[in-house]
Amino acid sequence: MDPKKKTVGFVPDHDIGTADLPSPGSSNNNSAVNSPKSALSNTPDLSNSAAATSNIASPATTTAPRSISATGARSSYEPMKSSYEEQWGLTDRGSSSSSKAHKPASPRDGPGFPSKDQQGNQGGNKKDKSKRNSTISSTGGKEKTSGLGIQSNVVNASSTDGSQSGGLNPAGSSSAGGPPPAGGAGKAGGQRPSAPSQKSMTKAERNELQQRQKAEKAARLAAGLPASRAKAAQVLAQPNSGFSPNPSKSLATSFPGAEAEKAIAAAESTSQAKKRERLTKEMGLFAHLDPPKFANTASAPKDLHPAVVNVGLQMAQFKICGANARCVATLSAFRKAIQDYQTPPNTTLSRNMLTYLSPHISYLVSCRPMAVSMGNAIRYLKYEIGKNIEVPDEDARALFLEKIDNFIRDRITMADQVITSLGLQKIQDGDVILTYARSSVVQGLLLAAHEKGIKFKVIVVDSRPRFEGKQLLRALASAGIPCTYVLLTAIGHVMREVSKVILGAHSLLSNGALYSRAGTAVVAMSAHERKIPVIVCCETYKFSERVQLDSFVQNEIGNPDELVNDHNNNYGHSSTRCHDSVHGSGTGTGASAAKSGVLSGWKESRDLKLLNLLYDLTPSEFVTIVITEVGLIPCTSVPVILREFL
Amino acid sequence: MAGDFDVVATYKSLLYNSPELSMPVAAIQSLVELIKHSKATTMSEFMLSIKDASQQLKSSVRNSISLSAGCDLFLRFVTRNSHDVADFETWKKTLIVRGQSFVEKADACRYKIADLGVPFIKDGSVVLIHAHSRVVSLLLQKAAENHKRFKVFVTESSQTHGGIRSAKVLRAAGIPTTIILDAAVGYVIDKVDMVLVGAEGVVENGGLINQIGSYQMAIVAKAANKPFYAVAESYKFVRLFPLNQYDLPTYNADTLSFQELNVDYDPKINEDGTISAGSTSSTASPSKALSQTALHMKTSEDRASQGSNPLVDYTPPNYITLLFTDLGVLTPSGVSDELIKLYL
Repeated sequence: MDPKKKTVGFVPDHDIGTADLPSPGSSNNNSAVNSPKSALSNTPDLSNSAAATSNIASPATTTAPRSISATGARSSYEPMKSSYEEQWGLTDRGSSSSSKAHKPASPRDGPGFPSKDQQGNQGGNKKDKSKRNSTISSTGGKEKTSGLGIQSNVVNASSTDGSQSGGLNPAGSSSAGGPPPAGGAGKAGGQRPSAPSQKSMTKAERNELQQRQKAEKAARLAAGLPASRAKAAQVLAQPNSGFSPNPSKSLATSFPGAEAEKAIAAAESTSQAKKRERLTKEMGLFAHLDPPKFANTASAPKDLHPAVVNVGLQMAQFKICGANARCVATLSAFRKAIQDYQTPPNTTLSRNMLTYLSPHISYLVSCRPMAVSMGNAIRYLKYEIGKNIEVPDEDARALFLEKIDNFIRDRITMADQVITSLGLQKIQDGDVILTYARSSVVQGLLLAAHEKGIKFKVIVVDSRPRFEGKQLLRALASAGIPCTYVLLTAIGHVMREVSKVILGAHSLLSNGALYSRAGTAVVAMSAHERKIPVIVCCETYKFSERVQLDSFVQNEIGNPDELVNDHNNNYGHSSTRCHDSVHGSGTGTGASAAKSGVLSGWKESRDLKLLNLLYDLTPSEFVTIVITEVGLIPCTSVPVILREFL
Repeated sequence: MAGDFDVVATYKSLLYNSPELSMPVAAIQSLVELIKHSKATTMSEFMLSIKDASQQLKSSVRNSISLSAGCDLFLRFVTRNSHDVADFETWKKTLIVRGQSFVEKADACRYKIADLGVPFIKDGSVVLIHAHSRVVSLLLQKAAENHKRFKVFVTESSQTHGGIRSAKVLRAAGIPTTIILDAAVGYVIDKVDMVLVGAEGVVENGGLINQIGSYQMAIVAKAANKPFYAVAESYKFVRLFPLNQYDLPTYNADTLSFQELNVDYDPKINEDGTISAGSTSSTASPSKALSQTALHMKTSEDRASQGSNPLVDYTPPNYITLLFTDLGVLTPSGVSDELIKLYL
């Protein structure tokens, strides 16, 4: 491959000053011939051996490492400048590529963050950096060195093949480490010898570079190539690979060191890479919210109890969703952790328990933002632990286990039963009950009412992207309750015949507002409009002291790709949402991109952003009554319950 | 169960003998009488007899919301005190004493409320009230005693003729009163400064259960931006939470059903010229017919439409501005606060 091309493709973004890079897009296009991979991947050309030499050979060349792998010479768009980006260093030039690479990478990227594009690689992989630099310098050209750098990494990677899967190879380890754009070794685009320092670029240019690199990578993945530039180049370089480049994604060209990249990239989850790339599509209005988190096993700190890691991953992939389910799963996992806990010397179980649990809790938060139910349960657990600090070890363990069991039994299981019995008073023969999405409490109540012999009908309202209502529909229909299933868009039409609306809650706030699955507010408002009573079933442990007036100040952003592909999201899946990673979002999206095509190119589209909010806020005036285990209360009495009972 | 003691009969005679007694208080008094006559020897038998008696009372009366409130409150009071019982007999005696004091306090409630509500009546104001409520009348009388100059519109409330009775009481106190048709509430609302109603019961979310027509007035008042005040003693706080109008215990399938009206319906004219809706029932005197027991609908028992028209309606809390209670002047959500403290 023409080194020039490679370098061009490799460092399209910030090598503005590079002659080799006339323009990121163009260079990429040129290289497209060779390798349509998106991210700049190291082509095998750059000899790995060269890598060994100078480490920081081309620090200058390496512009501030972009934590996000360069997407290659995609047509860049003016990225949104948000404080988020600045905070996470997405746009900073960074003094040292490595540090830079690390910083931006860490918050967003979970462990095993796939090789960011070259940019990210440059800075990301500390270990590789030296190699990269060396290779870079060895190649001499700015871009080339980067390729070399990657090459060297690849060499390392290949040599440590065995450990790759564990992400333990140099490149991989970076991924394990998280922040470093572990990605393939090739990724370590770290030092683009030829790339001007990122400082010299404007923020816009840096963003552009980033976007390009990400786009390249995305294109590579979409085209089915390995994520890393090097590997992709390798694949493409092979004459008989039978790989037909996706013409729509003419991105980074072959890059020296592709083989290395490929090897490294194999250790990375490609879906992770894709997710990373999409993350830069932030909304200004929601910049204060955490971006969607993607956890995988490699990213978990090693000393966590596997049960907790398990729960964290399940939650991150929405295999466990729903406030009650998540809380019970969390508590059960903690129960196991406490059960298996061996007190270290010089401390007692109760004294050390909090320190022991903290990393577990942080890990769970890193998988998915903490639910109010989980938060309250954990707070209770911490309180109990703190209260019993003097209890001797054997008793303490049993005590904590008992507390957890009691919490689940009293505040969740029994509470649900009381709520069901109270709620039965409110369901009469002939009712047409409307419910939204899926709440475990509501499901229990409706099934109990049917068992009691009350004759009623149910309308289940559901919405994209999760279609949680399907699960509820299944349960109710199999019990023999006459059901209707509509999407949220039909709410105006069906509300006419509804006599009651029963909703579940993620949490109830102190100003009486209901924080629940996105779409609940619409349902409640429609019902209120027609003077239809809105019943909310909520256990008291979900009450929060927070006050919230709108859905913006606090919310959870889900994976925007869920909005893209209909096929992936609502087709024949179980009602629990299947996370993209299950299919490999890259391939999945890529495969269906051809079919659906409507939003599949959203990342590349300059002005298009996708927002997937998980929750919304229903004002208190839309809620008629709240059924809790302490009785039927108006929603404005939440602070009274908190005050009197909790 | 206390076999000889007929709690319902006691209740009725109590009401008959003291027209000023409100239903819940009479109920509590009858239950206290029951305790006095109780032959139960064990705690559980005793509790059972009380529960049974209150059930009887509730089912004997057609409109039993305030009565339920009273019974529940008394039961709650008894249960709360039933745990540290050393000697059964002494405990019974304490209960009786406490019950009596409760009854006495209950009467004093009204005066307390009247004092709280008087500042809301300003000179030159026009007040719209509904039918007959003793607390409201007392409040207005107190205001008059405090030399406030105001006028009153009262709805006729044709079925029970409460409006007429109210007018009598208020005119006797020197307050200029006009009886208006129930249907004329919308017509006069722009002439009034506030609306004042009593209560059969106050429900958990601060909503009001009162004689039929109150909800209408609340809606009209809200539409006309006039404050709507409700006056209720705290023993009328009832542990109900209706979702809507039709979720009340007084609602049955017959209510508002399309029944054939009695063809020869014809209002009976009493001796003194007042129209009473048929007083051939046990209530002997016209005044009796017009007293609180009118709400028992004995007066309209011979009306064909008796069963199919509601006696009370439910006013949701968002129509109510404030509630004057002996616990203070509360907002509707404050009622929930009090109820939770009281019951939970």
